[in-house]
Amino acid sequence: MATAFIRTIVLYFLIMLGLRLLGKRQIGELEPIELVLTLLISDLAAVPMQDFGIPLLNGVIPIVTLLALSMLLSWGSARSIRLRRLICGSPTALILDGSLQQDAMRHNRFTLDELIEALRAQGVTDLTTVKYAVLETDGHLSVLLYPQHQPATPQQLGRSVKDDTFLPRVFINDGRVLDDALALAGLDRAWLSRRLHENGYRDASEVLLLSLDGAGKLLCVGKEGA
Amino acid sequence: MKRFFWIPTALLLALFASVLVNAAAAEQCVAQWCDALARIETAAQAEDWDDAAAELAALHESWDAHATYFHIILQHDELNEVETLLARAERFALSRDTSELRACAAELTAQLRVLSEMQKISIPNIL
Repeated sequence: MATAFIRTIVLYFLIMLGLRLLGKRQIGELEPIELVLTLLISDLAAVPMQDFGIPLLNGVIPIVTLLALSMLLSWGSARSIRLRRLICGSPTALILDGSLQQDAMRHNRFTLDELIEALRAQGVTDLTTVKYAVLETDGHLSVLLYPQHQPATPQQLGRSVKDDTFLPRVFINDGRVLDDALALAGLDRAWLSRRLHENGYRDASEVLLLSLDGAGKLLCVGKEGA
Repeated sequence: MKRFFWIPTALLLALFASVLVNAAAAEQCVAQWCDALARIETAAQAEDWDDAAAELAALHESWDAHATYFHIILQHDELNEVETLLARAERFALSRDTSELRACAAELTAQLRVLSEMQKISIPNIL
């Protein structure tokens, strides 16, 4: 038990250090804290699952230790910028004001081919249109184009637009009435019943989805064969 | 927000405390069993077979009482080895074979000490 506990702590920090030394390219979509957890937990769970001669506790102790360490580091990195930089690193600009940062690319072992590939993946084929390309701490490349190459917004065109973006509220989900959502919208079953009759349904059980958005637009989809 | 600090910290401290308690408990059990084995060896040397058999039976009973606990914390292969040695020692006590019983008791003592050693926080164990 003691050996499993201490070894887990040592290996956790060792893998974390390894990932930080490997750089952002190895991470890809996950922060180092999350990646270490993902890498280790599945293996730890599998060993006592397969080998019945190993006590379950030998899997449980490292898993609980890892979860606690991970939670503690997340807490620490949310509170301390210095700790966050130490654990997750900091974003690196690979293109700054349109110029390639070759030192930063070398430091992150990011080749020109990989940069072009990452830009292509975001629909950018002309390097001269990129003002900033930032390699984020999770290995993702964020790209910002020069304003003249960005799609124009209504504001830039000096046009006013009507706000017609609303979050629909679901009142019937697969035949079940969501009373909490109805109450939250200040409506009741009588209102729902009227809407159902208007749409040609007798009962909520005949409806797959019924939702209402902020503009008052009702969506009612019946169940197949109902 | 503070719970994200206190919960994991409490968990880690609880785990650390439980591994220390476990190491102490295992050591205490093993020390008692090793003392019993020393007495069995002395009884076998003096050819006091009734005493040796009684000590061995008490030892086996105590082992059985702690079997579940040890199965929770230790690899089962190591425990099976102890079970085998205990059964062998009982056979030698029954056949009144002094040299074999003493050799078996020594082997059993060593095996029990391994169990206790495995629970300790030490550099060799961690490495």
